[in-house]
Amino acid sequence: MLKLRPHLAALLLLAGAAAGPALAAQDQSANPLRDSYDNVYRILHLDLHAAELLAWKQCPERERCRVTATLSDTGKALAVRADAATHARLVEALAREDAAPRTQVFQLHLFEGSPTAAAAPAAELPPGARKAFEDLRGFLPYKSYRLLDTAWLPTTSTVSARLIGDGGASYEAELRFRRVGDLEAQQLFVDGFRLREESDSPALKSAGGERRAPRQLLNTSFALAIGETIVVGTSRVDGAGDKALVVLLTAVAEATP
Amino acid sequence: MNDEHRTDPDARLRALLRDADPAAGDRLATEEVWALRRTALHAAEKAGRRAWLATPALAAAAAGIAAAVFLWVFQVRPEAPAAAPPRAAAAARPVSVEPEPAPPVPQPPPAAPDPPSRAPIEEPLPAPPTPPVLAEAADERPLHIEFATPGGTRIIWVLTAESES
Repeated sequence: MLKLRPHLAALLLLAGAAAGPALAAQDQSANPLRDSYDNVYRILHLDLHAAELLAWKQCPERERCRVTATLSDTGKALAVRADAATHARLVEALAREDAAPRTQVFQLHLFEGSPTAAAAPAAELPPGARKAFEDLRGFLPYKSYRLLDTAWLPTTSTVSARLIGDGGASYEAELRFRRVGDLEAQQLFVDGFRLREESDSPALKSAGGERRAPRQLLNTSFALAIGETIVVGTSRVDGAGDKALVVLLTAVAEATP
Repeated sequence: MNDEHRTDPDARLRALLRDADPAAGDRLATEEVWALRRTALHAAEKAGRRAWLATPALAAAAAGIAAAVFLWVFQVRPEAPAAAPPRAAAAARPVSVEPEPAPPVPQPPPAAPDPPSRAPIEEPLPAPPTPPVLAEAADERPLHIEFATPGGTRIIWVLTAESES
């Protein structure tokens, strides 16, 4: 064993000489985060996952970035480790997308469906709502539809509107939504859409002069793509009411310049 | 972070040393091989003897502990009657729960009552589940139906009872 010592010593010297440049080269390639640094970005308005996706999209190579999304009592934040150029792109993107909440416009048409044919004036509807209305007419068993009211609802999250129906009956429509997916997905989730009778609606007064309690007519939630029109309607299961209230709700797409 | 720096260079250095080791191919002399083998066999034989000596003692201790735990957990009493074991009755009770009450079955004459300490505790059976009734469900909450027209328009229809407020 003793005779091996000179060999080993020479080997160690050789290995040290060879490993120096090799380690330097390896350090360059195996540590892509060498020139990166950390920064924490507070997210004000974007959905946290949408902001996380936005941050990843600014990284030219995934291996050169670390993105961590955190949600705490102080709010939403992204902890990002990346190089200076990526940080600069992310700041630019957040300044554009997260500086203010994005407004989404909804258009609402309230119809009354009736089992009896009646001559109703043709409603002037935008193209998306018109197609939904034609589909609806060919599918539901009501013979006539009368447009009662419309509303234009620009909102960043929650909005309500007053609608007037037949005989002065008044309704309150309330909508709450959030964006889902990344910023290009154009997908919304309406996590609350309600239509209820207003407490001072004249429709609540019976022929005998007694007032009944207002009813909630619709309370539902659904996904909705920007530009899509969905139909939400209600009728009575016991057959006492032969008419239906039908809402056409459109998530209006932004006009392209 | 620093660990990442250290781990990979160390592994690479070890690989370089192993690859370039001139003594890697050297073989031990026959005498050295036999000496190593004798040492290893002797050590294994001694360890085996110790293990065989220790096994009966360990087994006796384990059996004693198991018996003590068994007696403590189940509280075996020599005077306990062998017939009508209440534990079996209690264990069978959950299995006999049915939605509908079973029809009366002629029972044999009652056996001698168990000692009070062995009598099963009478627990009230849970009420049989009530099958859902469509009319009642409609009274409680509106029925939502979602479908799409052939043209692709999605429709959510809410069927509301007259009595609902």
